[in-house]
Amino acid sequence: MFHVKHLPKNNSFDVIVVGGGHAGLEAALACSRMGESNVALITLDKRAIGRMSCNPAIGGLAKGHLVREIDALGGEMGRAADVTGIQFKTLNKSKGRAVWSPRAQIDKKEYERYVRQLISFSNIVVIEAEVVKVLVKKYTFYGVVLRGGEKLYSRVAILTCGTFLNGLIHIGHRKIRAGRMGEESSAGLTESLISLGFTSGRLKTGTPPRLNRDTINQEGLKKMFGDIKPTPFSFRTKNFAPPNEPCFLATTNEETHEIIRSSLHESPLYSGEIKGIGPRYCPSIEDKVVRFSDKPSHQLFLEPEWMGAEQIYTNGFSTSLPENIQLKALRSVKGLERVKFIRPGYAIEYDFFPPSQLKASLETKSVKGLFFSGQINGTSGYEEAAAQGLMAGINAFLFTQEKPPIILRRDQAYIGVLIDDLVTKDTSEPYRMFTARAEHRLMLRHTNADRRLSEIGNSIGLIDDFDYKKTVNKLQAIDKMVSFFNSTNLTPDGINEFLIMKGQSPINEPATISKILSRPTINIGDLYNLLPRNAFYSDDQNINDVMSEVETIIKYKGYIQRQQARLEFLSRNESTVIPNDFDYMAAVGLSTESKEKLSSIRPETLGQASRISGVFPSDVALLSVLLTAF
Amino acid sequence: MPRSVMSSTIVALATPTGVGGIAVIRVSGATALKVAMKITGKPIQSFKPRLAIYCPLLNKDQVEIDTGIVTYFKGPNSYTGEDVIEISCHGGYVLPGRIINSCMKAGCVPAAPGEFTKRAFLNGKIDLSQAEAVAEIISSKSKLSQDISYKYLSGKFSKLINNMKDSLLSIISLIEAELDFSTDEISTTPNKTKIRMVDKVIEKGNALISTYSTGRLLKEGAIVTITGNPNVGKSSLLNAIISEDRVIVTDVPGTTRDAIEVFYKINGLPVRFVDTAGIRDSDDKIEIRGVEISREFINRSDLVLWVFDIGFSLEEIEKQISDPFFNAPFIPVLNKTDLLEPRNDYSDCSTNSLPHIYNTSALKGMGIKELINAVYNTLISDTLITEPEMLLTNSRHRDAIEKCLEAISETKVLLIENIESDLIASRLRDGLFELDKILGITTADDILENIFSNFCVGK
Repeated sequence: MFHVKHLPKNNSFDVIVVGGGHAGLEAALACSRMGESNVALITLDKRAIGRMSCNPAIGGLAKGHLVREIDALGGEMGRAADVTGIQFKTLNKSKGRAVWSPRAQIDKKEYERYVRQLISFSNIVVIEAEVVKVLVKKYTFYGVVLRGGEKLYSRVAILTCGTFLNGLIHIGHRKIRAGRMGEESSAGLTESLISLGFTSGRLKTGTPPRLNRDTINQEGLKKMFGDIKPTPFSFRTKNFAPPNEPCFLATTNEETHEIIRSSLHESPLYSGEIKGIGPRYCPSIEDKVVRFSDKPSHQLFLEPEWMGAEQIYTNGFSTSLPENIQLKALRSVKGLERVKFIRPGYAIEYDFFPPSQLKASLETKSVKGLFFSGQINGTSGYEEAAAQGLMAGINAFLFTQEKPPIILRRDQAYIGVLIDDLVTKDTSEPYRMFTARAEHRLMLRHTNADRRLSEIGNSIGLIDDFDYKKTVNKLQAIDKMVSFFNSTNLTPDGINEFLIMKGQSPINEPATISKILSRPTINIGDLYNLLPRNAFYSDDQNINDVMSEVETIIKYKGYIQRQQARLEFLSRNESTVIPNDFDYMAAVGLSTESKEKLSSIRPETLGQASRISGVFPSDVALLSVLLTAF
Repeated sequence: MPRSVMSSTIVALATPTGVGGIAVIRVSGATALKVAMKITGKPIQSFKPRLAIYCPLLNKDQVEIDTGIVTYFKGPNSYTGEDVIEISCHGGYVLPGRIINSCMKAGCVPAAPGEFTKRAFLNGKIDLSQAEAVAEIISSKSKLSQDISYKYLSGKFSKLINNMKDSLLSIISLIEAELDFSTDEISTTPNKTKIRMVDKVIEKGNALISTYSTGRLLKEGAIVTITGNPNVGKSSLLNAIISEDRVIVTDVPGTTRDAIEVFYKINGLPVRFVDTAGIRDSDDKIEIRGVEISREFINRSDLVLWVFDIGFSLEEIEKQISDPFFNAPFIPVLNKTDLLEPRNDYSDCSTNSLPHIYNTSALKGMGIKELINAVYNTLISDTLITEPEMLLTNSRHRDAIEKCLEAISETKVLLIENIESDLIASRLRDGLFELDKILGITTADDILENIFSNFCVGK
């Protein structure tokens, strides 16, 4: 029997969240914060809530955007990372503002402690148990059954089972039933869902070995630090002064590769024992050695898992080779000659449910009140999971209030792109966020996530009025400066000397500040000393944020206009709703493949239909005409 | 399938109004067979799919007014994918109209422009670029241009654009990869290589664009204006050209004062010869207006035949043609050379910097063949005709390719200046979008409507 602090009468809750990873945590917090609602979080292991099972980092390319958006909506991941981060760096600094992405190395232990504290201060009821069955009547969810037979009831549930559904770990030919190393996997739930008519699939992911720091010779390794002036993830973080703990760079060599090559037959990836499909973007070291055999060396990043950690994460060495081969290969690397493992790397296979079975609210199409989020939907990554968890939590709560769900558009947030992709595309490998997936990329900058999403966060009660007021003030300061720049002229006398000094052609007639600033090599800092002080006057404390955003708005304006013109053209498809009962099979002109795909996925709009793989462009053109006639 | 647009049975004349001895009337829709019964008075069993039957044609009052051939095509094996009947009757302006009236009495509604093709498209019989090609085949005036439309129809054009799109995609993927993977994960490609790749796409686009003017000529026909002082023999020259090869398409009296238009084909290339009023200084108001009209016409021409006679000295001719009074390509013609002494042949004397002067005698039919060949060769290159290439004929397609090239050319500048790659990627995507528009991938209703409304009734 499970034991909890306050188990309500009749075992009844407003919301049940199954799983305590990054998705489950955001979902539970959102529900409990939005309505003081009575939330049960069911987990196999209380101590593992918010655990970072793989790399000790949050953010990174495109993922950093997700974290900023989670934060702007009132989610927790950004603040948690700011409090527990030990090294912060903005990636892609040279490749353009739209793709700048914040990333932080995290103290995993601190992160878990922070999360535990949050939960203990909330009214979330944590239940340590295993869910084996979902209860459904008339296509409507009403409860779950725990191992042991107890039943818990609620109108909505969010399943965030991560890699635990029939999780199977591979190390060489050794197989262990587990959700994570040392943690029980979950059996029965998949079968219960299949019996309700859901389709499941199998995916694979992996994690590298953890090394004992005292056995690494740091002398021969390059130290990698974060930014000297770090930027926090959260728009709400104040007094930000995190540590700057280094990582270490090691490199593999031909000897390493030879050891791996000669042992490939012992890797379950190559012997065919692993059936699940792994991500191509995060290849195992076996894959790298085989597929890029011309590369004489690969980089390994040795990342401390917490402040002063004795446990080191070997980023770049994900593997399922037998433990002795892993060790032999690593010991051929300079600096790791005497290395010892705390834990070997392994691959893990788990069940997922293709997310085309979901609505854009993340509620399942076939069972009312049942929501899925995180790796169960075939995604990878903490950030992707947290983003879905937050949206599922928000929408599950709105469901209990009989209010319409919040569905973020693709031009509004990476989260919108993520969920739209999930529910309309087939996942053939674990889904990771990329900036290239966002066609509105130039507008979806991490620096303007607050402009895009804080209003929503405030309206649903996740961003409090005080924080929201601060955001509004900042946005007003930005707008004020932009309009000043757009309407104020600089004269040739005043600016030409400066332009010539910058190697720019001088002006003959007065030109607006914006016009000058939109020239590629002119930046706002250059103009600072040339302009009247009132141009830079701002109530906002962080004038640098304001100036940087103003500069971006002005420099990116022309490009964004063109991007928008192009996308507006397409958005007419986006807003064309396809009726629920539309009979694809009866649509004479559609190709057979499209008919089948469309009938099974049932896209909600023409825009979604156009992104389904296997649906031909001409079929979308046809549909658009049919819908006009409908 | 609830499809309100498809519920009606439509009728229209499928051949040009008033032209030709035979007219074809097409009926498409669920009640097509019933219409066939009513307008022929024959029982339904008479009509078998794809069988042409000879039968009386009745007017709306059930009186026989003609006999003709009625062919039934059972959907989906028809042009529109619906039940279709095609009625071949005698041509002219009156009779086909009466039969159409009769069809309407039998329950048909008149087809909107392009509605037959629209239905074919909706029923999956053809795709978008094919639908556009049908429009072009209908409106095309030459055999060659029909060949080109046919190539569109068979998807060859899509292949060419797809090829350009693939090259563009490979650059985009390269840059996108660098945006989404840190330098730890992938090695970056130098800008130089990217610029080379961009150049290749620009090359492909330019090659397509350069075929547009030829494509348009083939589709719409070239305008060749004949000008020169009064009495140099312009009209007789035109007559001589026409009588050289009697393939006159049509002969329309000029709508502008004193201008005569003649349609003519040279090796399949449609040419509109326009004989203008004579150009000379005048005080007569009406004549001045006539001259103005001529000049406007001349400036819009694809080619001008500038006629002189032997009353001009070579020096005078050379002086005039070195400073033309109009703005269009031209061929100088010296007419009435039958009156010249053989040794005074002007063509031998002209300098290299000026166009070759063609010697003709409209009266004796001398030099006319050579002149026709010169007209043809100036308008179009020989190789293009003997081996028709894929030509760009649709102005919507040309605009899209030009916009695509504009975006890509700008990315080249950005690459040279080493500007942020998120902006470069965005411009490349702008370019890709333009190509997508051609392929019909990003079709919105207004484009569709635009295409369909430009169709002539009956197709």
